[in-house]
Amino acid sequence: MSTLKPILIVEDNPNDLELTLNALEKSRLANEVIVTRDGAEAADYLFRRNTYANRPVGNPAVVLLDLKLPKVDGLELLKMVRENEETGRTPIVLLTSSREERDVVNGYKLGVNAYVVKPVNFNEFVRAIQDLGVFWAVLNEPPPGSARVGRNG
Amino acid sequence: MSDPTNSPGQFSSTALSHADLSACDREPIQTPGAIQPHGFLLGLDHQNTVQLCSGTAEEYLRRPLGSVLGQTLGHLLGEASGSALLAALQSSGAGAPLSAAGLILPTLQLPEQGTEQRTANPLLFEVVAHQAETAPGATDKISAGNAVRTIVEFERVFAPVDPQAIAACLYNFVARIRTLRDVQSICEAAVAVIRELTGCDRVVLYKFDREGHGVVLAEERAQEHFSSYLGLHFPASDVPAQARRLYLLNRVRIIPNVDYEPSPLYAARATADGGDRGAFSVLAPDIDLSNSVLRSVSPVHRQYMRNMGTVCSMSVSIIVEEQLWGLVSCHHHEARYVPLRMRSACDFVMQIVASQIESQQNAATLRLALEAKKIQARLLAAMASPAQPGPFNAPVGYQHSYMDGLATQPDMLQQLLHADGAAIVVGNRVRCFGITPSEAEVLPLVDWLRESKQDELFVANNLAATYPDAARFTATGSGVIAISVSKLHNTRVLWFRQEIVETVRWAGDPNKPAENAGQNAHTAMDPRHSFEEWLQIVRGTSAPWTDQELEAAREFRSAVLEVVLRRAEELAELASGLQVANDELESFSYSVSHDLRAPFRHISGFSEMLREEEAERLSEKGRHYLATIMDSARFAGLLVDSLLEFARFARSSVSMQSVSMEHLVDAEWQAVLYDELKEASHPSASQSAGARSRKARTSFSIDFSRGPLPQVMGDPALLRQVIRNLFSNAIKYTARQPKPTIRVTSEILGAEFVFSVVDNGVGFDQQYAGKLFGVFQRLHRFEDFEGTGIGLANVRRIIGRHGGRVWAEGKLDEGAKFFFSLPAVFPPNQL
Repeated sequence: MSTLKPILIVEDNPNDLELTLNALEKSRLANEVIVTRDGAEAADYLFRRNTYANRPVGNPAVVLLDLKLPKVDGLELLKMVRENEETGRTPIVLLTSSREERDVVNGYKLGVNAYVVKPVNFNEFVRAIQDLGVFWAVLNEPPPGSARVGRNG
Repeated sequence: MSDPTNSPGQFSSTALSHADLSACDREPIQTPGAIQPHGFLLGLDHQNTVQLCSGTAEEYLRRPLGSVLGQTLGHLLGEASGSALLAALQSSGAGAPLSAAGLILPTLQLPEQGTEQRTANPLLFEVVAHQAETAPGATDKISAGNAVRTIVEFERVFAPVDPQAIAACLYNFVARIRTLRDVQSICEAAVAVIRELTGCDRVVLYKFDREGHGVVLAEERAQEHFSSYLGLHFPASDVPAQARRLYLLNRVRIIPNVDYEPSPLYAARATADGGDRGAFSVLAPDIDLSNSVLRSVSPVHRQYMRNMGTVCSMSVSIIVEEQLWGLVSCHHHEARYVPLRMRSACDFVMQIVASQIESQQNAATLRLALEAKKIQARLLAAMASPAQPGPFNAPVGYQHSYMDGLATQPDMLQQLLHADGAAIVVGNRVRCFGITPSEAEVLPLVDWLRESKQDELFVANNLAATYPDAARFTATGSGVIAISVSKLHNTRVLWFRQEIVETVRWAGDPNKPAENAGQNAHTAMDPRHSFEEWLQIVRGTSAPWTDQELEAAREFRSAVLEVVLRRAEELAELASGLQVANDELESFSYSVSHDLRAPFRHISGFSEMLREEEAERLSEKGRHYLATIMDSARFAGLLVDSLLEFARFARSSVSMQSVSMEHLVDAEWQAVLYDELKEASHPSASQSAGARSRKARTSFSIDFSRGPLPQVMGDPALLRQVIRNLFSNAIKYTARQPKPTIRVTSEILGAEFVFSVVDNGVGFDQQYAGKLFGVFQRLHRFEDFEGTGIGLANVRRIIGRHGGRVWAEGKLDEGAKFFFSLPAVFPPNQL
């Protein structure tokens, strides 16, 4: 079993998705990248429901979460993840276009780990994604919840 | 006597009212227990039996007191006269009970003393009856006195009056007085007719002022007997308080001969078995003689008359609006028995005079009130719509703009209270108009008013008496009315009156009302002897503020409060409307932020990927197109961000604090240098070649300087934004200068600090200066100077919220000067 946890991307916009994947590719991380296209699908993955009911147990190394999402939006998903005991400590980074203060405040209230406004400048965007990936997927000590992965799997 | 040049009087009116003669206030003038001897008095019980009589009854009725007391009127006066009087008493007022006020009964004839035939040479008496009132505090020891229900007085008539002559005189007077339009001529007409009626040597009319001092307004006299009192002042202590009360009840008094022998009152002594026919009599001192026509007067008063040199004294009250407005006083060099019916005519005259004075005063009050209303309306109109910021420099619509509006009408403001000058105070800023103390003198006065909690209306016409510091500006500010409009903002309006150095001519030195004490038996109550003119120089006092002026000040204050409150409500309403609009704008900008930024990001991102991965397959032209796309996308993103920032300033609250502009400007210049340094070491990869070339020269080469800058009140974060925007503007437009300079200076102009940021850049055409500060307004072609056109709009918005202004001066190719102002002393709570 790989010791590297996957990176979960929750992004509905295909352009942003492509840019994000391109940036991650440039950062040459070895983690598996899982893509979900709305909040409901991401919830299915995180809570191992429906199409993801049979995925291996374990939380992703980091969730790159868009704020505006169909069905279940970013803040709702964040809340669900934080309220669930098993997923509660998963690192979550909000990626969004908005600089609006209330999103920042709400995001931190709900326990987001980082908040990144996607820069318009693509080079800066690449740099931000790379930094995030390296920090959360490689450098960061995994939260205690991740330890259970080994026992159950 | 008193030499006016040696003794300029410096006494306060309050000291005067507490003069020694206040002992008079305790004299029992209502219950002297005696009458004057030109008549007699009988007191009747409920059965009309005589229970009380004066000593003079003995001589006039030619019976010993023992056979007066206990008798009926019929028995004493003869059946016919007695029953006529009783009948008149009982039919009085159509069955209404006899009141305390005197009722004139039919004239009575009695035979002259010592004559047996009644018809031969009869004595004539006017008969007056009134209800008896026992003085409060009287015990029931003298039960006869308590049993008295009716007091009947018989006043000797020495010379009968001619009713037709009186009627003609009254008719002429009434006809004349209706043509008179001012109080002075009414008073002059009154003394003339009173002298005509009474024939007294001197008739004077006093008016009492608020302190109770009397001034002689009108006089008629026979010069050989009396000197003139016209224009003289009489201290309040000349008429003791209880005498004043008495004069309200009983309007006419006469002492025909000052050297009379008082005739004591006697009552029947109750016998042990309860009967009252005892022949013994006792003195009856407790009968209230307030309404008596024969009442014996205080020995002090008689002494006063002697000192004044008059033998006869008669006075008639002038009662206006239930107050003792004045007195008409008649003096004669010898005894003069002015008959009752003549005195009634005088009372009638003075009642007409009183009602004329009252209606003249009412008319004058009404006229003044109307005038005040008109002025007030114009002042309020000016306050409600200030044309432009005035001396208090308040942005239109804010609290203090009312005061700016008021300041545009200084003449009206003074006229409202007939003041010589006025001052408007907001916080610690003063604006004076007309004749006033200096601003440096007004401020401490205002502080004193605030400390002594004079939060509504303060009035003084001798300010130094309550506020000693005012002694330094008596000439300009002896009289003051101050109203407080806002406690929170210490907003006040003050009106001033100049000192009027007044020479008061007293009838005798009012500081020595009781001189020669000790030579007389009534030591403590000896009235003053001198009525010689005594001059007093009154200083530190202005013309008094009238009741109407006080009322006008009070009304103005409440009207202003109403305006302020109403405006506050309107502003609140407006604010809530703006809040709705703001909220909408906020959600709009939110979606702009989220939705517009994304496509720009995509364009930028995909162009970049295209450039990285496919550049070698593109032609030179294709690469140029690509660079332009990327540049545009980057700029579009910048534009959206600036717009959002601009919207954010609109909603952010301003937190005022003291800010050192020197520190702020220096720190901001350092920040600009740092940004340039960062930009130079990490040039943005997406920037077009053109953009990079414009940045090729850095701010390091700029010659930056500043002069001394003041401390201001403001929001440091917002002011930093202002400086930052002006700096980046200056840097941008000096980019092509070989020797660029930027200089920041400030100066104080009136109530403002004016700051300037001056550069030697490309400048601009002055005719477009007004457009500089508008959103998206640009004066240069884009390819020359890149910019979103929002920076200066932000500057204007921030400075505006600080109560300041922005403007610019420039000339093409000769540099630009950007100015902004901030209030030098910023009133708190204005934002």
